[in-house]
Amino acid sequence: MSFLTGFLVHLPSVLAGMLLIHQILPGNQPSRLVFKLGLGAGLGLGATSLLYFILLLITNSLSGYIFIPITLLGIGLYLTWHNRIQNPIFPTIYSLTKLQKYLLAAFCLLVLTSLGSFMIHALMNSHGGFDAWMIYNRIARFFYRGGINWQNAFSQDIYWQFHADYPLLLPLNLAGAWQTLGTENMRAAQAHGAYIFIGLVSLLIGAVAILRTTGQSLLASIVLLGTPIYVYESPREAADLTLAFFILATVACLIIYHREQNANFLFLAGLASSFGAWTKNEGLLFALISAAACFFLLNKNRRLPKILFYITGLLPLILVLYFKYFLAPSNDLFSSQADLLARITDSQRYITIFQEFIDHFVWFGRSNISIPIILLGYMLILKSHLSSKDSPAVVICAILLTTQFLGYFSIYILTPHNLDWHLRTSLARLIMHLYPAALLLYFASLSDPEPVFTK
Amino acid sequence: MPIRYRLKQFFTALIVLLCAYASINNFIGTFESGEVDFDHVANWENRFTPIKDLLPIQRGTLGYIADWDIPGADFDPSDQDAEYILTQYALSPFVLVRGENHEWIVGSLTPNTYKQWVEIRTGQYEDVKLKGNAYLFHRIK
Repeated sequence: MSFLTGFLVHLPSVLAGMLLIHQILPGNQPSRLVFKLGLGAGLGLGATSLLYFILLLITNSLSGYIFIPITLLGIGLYLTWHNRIQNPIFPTIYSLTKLQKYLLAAFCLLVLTSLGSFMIHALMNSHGGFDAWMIYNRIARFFYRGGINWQNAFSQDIYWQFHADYPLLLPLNLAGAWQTLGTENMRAAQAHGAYIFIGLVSLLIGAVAILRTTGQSLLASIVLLGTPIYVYESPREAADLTLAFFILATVACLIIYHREQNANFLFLAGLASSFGAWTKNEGLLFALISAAACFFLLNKNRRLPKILFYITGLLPLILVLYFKYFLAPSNDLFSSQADLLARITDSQRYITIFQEFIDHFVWFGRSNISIPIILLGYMLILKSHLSSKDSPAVVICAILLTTQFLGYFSIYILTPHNLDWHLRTSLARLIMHLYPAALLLYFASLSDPEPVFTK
Repeated sequence: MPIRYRLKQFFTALIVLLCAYASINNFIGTFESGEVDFDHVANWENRFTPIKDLLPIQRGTLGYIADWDIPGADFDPSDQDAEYILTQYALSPFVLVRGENHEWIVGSLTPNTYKQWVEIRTGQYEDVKLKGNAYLFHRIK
């Protein structure tokens, strides 16, 4: 029963996101509907969390959470009904080739095994993983149990390891769900993770199908589902999967914007990157870098005024910055900068971090086979088949992800904590942030499987 | 059909098979890895949550001591770290600060370290022992 209520409490946010995005991005081709289904799940949850934060600041009360997604859903349903003729929501009929049917069957098999793994992980860890007790669920408890004293969650007395400065997307959605259900239902946090995971897979399938073919999109999703760390992380109630979702959403919207020149994609890219900043501190870095990427992309197309759409999407960042400056305690990484110069000039740190990056990249995914190495081999065999139309956006987004990666590298150089401990406890999750977006770029650049099997 | 196409077909099929293998292997590994009816976090919560009913306050800052605060005690630092995190999680919205400079102190001590800590503070604190190795100490004014 707690599983059911945990899923139901977030459902209005997810449905509202899907329906509202359907109004912003018309089209009922299956690939577009899958893309909007994925994008809507994350953006709906992100919007609910941010609006709840505004409500909390205004009323200083935790009540009223559920009215936010219900109102958004009402608006979404009204607009969908009102525009049903010019913007139908039911998909057009689409037949699959033999290869696509085989890939779909493989995809379904992986969905089933992932679902099984998710359920077992969820049952074994009802309170989630280490980060959940330490950060997200703990902050949610400070809110839910603290009532009008919710700001105690940011007490200066809280030990740095509890990361009281982390943004609030996840804790607020969880505290709001508990407030709605009247109990600390831990399944609500796992349901949040499940919706984000479903959104991540749908977003990747939809984006690759829009940019390439159905076969290519199914192959991309098979690779994502075949990377067990994502199934492992989704019921662990941490925010890394959510940030991975928003990074993928930003990159997908930027590339599809470049292809179709529909400025609404820019707005959604801005929104996704600001929700990323509302999810984790690393998201703030990503919002900054993706704004620069958007600028370069538009400048190259001589469409710089369109950046206003992106900036409009970035408006939630004002709330994130308000939180960081007025509520959150200082970040542990930047509060102690003694010996900074010694760390920057220590060449051994660079070597250690580089070796760990290579090792974690090769063995990324919690699997006993190296999927990244197989993908590299696959790329050498299939060769790049990037259309000239997409190449500027794909290249700029590749630079965006590389810069984010270098940002992570710099954090390890600067960290005042024990380097081995810091690498061991965080590096795999940092790679996890970027991997789905990297898969999108990879499959958007590679030859499609269909022609290979029809020769 | 040129060998290049055969290779492409082979690698496409290989990727699908390896991903399916990784996913199935993960499912089997997860299935065999633990018991679904034992939740160590819930277990820890059951030990410490009763402390909240013993306190005269609803929120605020409490001290926290564990084996790592007792000179000469044997302990695993990562276990102590995890226990501190779990205790803070269980007792939220109280803030747990390491050390004894508070009126109320939560202790996670083995019988030996408890004895050692209490011996040198005779008469300074009254204490309540709960389930497991959980304690609540109150400083006597």
